[in-house]
Amino acid sequence: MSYPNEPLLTGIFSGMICENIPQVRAKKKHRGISTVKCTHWQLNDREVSSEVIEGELIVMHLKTGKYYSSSGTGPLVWACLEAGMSAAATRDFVASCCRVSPQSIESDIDGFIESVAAEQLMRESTAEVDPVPPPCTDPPVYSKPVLQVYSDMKDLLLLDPIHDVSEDGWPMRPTADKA
Amino acid sequence: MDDGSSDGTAELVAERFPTIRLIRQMRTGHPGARNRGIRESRGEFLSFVDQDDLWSPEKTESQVRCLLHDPALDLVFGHIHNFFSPEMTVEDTRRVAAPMNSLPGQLQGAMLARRRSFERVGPFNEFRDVGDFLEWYGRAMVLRLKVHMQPETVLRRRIHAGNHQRTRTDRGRGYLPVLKDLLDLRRRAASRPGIDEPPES
Repeated sequence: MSYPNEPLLTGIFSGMICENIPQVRAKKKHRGISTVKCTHWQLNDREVSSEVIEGELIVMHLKTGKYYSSSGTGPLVWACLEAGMSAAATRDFVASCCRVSPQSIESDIDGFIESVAAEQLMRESTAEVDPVPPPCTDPPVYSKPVLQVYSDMKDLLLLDPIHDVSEDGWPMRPTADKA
Repeated sequence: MDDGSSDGTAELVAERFPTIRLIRQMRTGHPGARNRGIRESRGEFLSFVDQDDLWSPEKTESQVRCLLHDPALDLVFGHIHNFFSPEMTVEDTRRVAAPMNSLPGQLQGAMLARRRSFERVGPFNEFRDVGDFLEWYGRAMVLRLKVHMQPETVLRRRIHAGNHQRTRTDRGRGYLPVLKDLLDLRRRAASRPGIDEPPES
């Protein structure tokens, strides 16, 4: 995937000046600095659920019935993107956290983002954000983040979401009976 | 199985269907109720239906025939059709994004299992609020049970307003620990000789 605006973008960890970050916009107002619009990533939260369980990222797409996993550096990259960080900011943060050079991991991060976008787990957005980076305590040893894709339970996952009985049980009593 | 109902269902069944063996218990949830029913049951085949769904009149006969025809077959499923429960308002039905066409029904209600095959997989996990059948079916796949999907519709599944009180994503979140456990189970199985790697698409 190519990022046509990417050369203009720099992360908040490499002196980014994004006008859609509130603090930057405030500074711009006072100091007259020039800014660019930054593209970041937004979870497709109407159709996607995700959680890191025992260090492994597990994601499910409710509309396609596919599910995904990623270990190693994947959960950290996902957390950066979910926080609203741009590709460049994610690269710089992961590099700093895992103590590797940003240049050496750039194509890995782009590849991971390409997979995430291709599977429609996240969408590009230029909405106003104020990203808070994920914690960098106990960082993983850097490994290429890979999104593994599974579709073997598709039929079952696409059926199941509408079948749970509600807390009210079945059949639901008319409202007047409940009172 | 009457899993602690308080709306008169058990009394109604006892009165109207005296030949049915009714077992009542304190509420344990779906997996616990099904497991108790399995323990109490006898016979070569197992099938399940929830109180709000409808089997087709032909389901049992056609699925038993299927299992008798192929002794190597472990589980047989059929297709399902969703339908809106009559008390739903038009507004309710508009809020529901349920497919109304025939679907392959990998659900308990659309399944007939050979008892010995079911017992190889083991009981439903009673600690699961969500996804107990997903986990059970995943365990069955690790054991490479032989499964057949019938093209006929065997279950009409009732869609009612109560199905949708929680959002899809909330419900999806409930499946994530199940999927994690399934992936771990497959990895452990794959590390044993003769078992394939987890299927990745």
